[in-house]
Amino acid sequence: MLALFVTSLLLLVRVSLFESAPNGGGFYQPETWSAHGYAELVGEPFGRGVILFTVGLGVAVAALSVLVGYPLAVFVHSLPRRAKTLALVAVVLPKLANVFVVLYGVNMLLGYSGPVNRLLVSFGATAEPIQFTHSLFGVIVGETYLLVPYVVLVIVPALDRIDPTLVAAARGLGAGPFTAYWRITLPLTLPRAAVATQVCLVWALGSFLGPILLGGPDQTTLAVKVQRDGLEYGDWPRAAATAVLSLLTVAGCVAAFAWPAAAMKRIGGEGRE
Amino acid sequence: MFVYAGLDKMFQEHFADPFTASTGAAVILDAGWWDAIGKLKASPKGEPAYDLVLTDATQGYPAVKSGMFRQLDFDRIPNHKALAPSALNNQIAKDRYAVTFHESAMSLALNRQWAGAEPAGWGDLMRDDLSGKLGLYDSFYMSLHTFACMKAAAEGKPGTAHAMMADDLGGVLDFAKRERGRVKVWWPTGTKMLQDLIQGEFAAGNAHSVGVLQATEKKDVFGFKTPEADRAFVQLMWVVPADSPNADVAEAAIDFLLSEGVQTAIARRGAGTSHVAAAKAVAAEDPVWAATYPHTDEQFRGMRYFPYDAYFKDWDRIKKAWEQEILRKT
Repeated sequence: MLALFVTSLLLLVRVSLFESAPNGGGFYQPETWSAHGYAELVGEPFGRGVILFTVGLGVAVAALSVLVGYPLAVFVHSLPRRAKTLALVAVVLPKLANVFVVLYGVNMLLGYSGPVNRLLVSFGATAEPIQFTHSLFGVIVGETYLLVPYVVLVIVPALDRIDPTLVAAARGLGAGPFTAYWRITLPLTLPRAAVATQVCLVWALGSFLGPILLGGPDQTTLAVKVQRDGLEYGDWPRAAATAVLSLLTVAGCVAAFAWPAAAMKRIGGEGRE
Repeated sequence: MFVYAGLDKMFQEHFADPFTASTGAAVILDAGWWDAIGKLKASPKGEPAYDLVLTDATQGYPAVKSGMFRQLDFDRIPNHKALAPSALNNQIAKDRYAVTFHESAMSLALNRQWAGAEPAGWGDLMRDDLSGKLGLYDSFYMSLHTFACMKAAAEGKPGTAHAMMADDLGGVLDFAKRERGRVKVWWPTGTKMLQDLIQGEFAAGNAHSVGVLQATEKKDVFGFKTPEADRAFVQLMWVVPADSPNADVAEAAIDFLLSEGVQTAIARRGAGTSHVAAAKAVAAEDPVWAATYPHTDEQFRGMRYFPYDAYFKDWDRIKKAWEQEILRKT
C-alpha cells in the first residue's frame, strides 16, 4: 500500500517537472525537465492568489464547521434516546446522497428566487434578492454544510463517553450548568474536537465542488485548478505541479495545527500517563 | 466506449443494445466529461481504457497530435458519406484520425422575467439594461466566441466573428477584458446554467443548445434562440485509440453510430446531426430544432464549428488571458 502511494507520488512529481507542450500540443513534452509549473504558481500573483485563497477558505470552513457542528452535537446528545437516533439519522442523511445533488439543493435554497431570498424579501429584510450563490458566501455555506455531519459524528460519541456522574458531582458541589459544562464537558471533548477540526481542515483544503458549483472564478482553489489545467487545458505539468503544491499546503496546514491539536488533547487528558 | 455524461442512456438504448444484438460485441459505456483522454493517456500500453472514444476538438486535437489515436479505415465506415461534407472539412478528418461532426450549437438563452425585451441577437448582450446580468460558460472555447459575436455586432459587422477570431484575436481578447464586467455568472456546466437561468441568477447568456432544447418543453420561464449570424457548433468526433486491440469492432461501431436510425434518434433528443437525411427528417418534425441546427443543403454548406484552429494557434496566450484577466482579475 505504501509502495503504491509513494510510487504514485513520485510519478506525480515527475510529471510536474516536464515541460508543458506549447499551444495545447498534447499534455507534456517527454524527456524534458522544467520547474515552470511551480514557478508560475509561486511566482505569479494569480498562482499565489489561488494558494492563499485555498488556505484561507480551508481554515475558515474548518473553523466554521466545528463552531456549528459542536453545539449541534451537544444538542443531539441532550435529546432522549429515540429523538437522538432520529436526529443523528437526519444529520447523516445528506452524506448518503451524492455531493452534487446536495450542493445543487443548497444552490436552489440560496438561489436568487430560492426560499431563503423569498423569505427575506417577504419579511422586508431586503428589497431585492441577495446574491448568495456564485460568491464566497455560497462556497462557505456549501462546504460547511458538507462538513458539519463529520463534526457531529465525532463529537457525539465523545459526549456519550463522559461519565454522567462527573457533571452530577460538579452540580452537586454548587457549579451551575454553564460552569459544569465549561469545567467538565468541554475539556473532555476537546481531544475529539481536535480530531474533528483536523478532518475538516484536510477536506476543506481540498474544496472542489463547492467552489465550482456555488462559487465562481474568484473562488478558484488549488483542486479546481488541478482539474482545469489537467483535464480542460490538457497541461499535465501545470496540473501536477498544482497537485504537488496542494499536497504540500495540506501537509503544512495539518502540521501547523498539530500544536493546538496537541494542546487540546492535553487539556482533555489524552496522552497523560 | 467513452461517451459524454447525460448521453449514456441514449447511447445504451439506440446504440449499445442494438449493436450487441446485431454483432454479438459487448459494449460497456463509460460516461464522463473531460476525463476520457486523461484516462486513456494513463492506460498501460496495449490496454487502452477504451476501444472507442467520443471526444471534442479541444481534447481530441492535442490527443491526435500526440499520437494517441489511429488512422481510421473510412472504407469500413461507409456511413460517413451520409454526413455533410462541411462536417468533415477539417484536418483531423482529412487525415482520417476521426469522424468529426457537429453536436451542440451556441445558443442565446434568456430568462423571460429578468431579460426585459427578449434579446434577439448577440449584440443585445451589449444592452445597458443587461449589463452585469449576463451568464457565460466558463470555458473559453464557447465564451470567447460569444465575446467575438458581441464585438462583431457592436461594430455593426455581424457575421464576422469567425474572421475576427482568426485575424484579430488580440482585439477580441481586449474586448473581452474590457466587457467582462457585464458578466454576473460564469456557469460551469449546462445543468447548472439551466438551474441558474431558471432561478433568475442571470438574465441572458450563452448556452449549449442541446440542454436548452431538452428543457424548453418543460419550462416557460426561459427561452432561447440560436442567431443565424456567427452561428457556431461544438465539434465532436469518434476516435479509436492507437493501441486498441478491437479497432475493427470500433470502426464497425462508428459506422453503426453514423446510420440514419441512430442519428435520427440522437437528433430527436435535442442534439444536432451532420447526417443530412436525418437532419431533414427531424427538422420536418420539429420547428424549434429546425431553427437551431442546419438541415438544408445551403445551411450545411455554411456550417461553421467554433474557431478551434484559431484557438490552437494561440492556446497558451488565450488560456492565460482567459484565466487571469477575463474570468477574474488577478
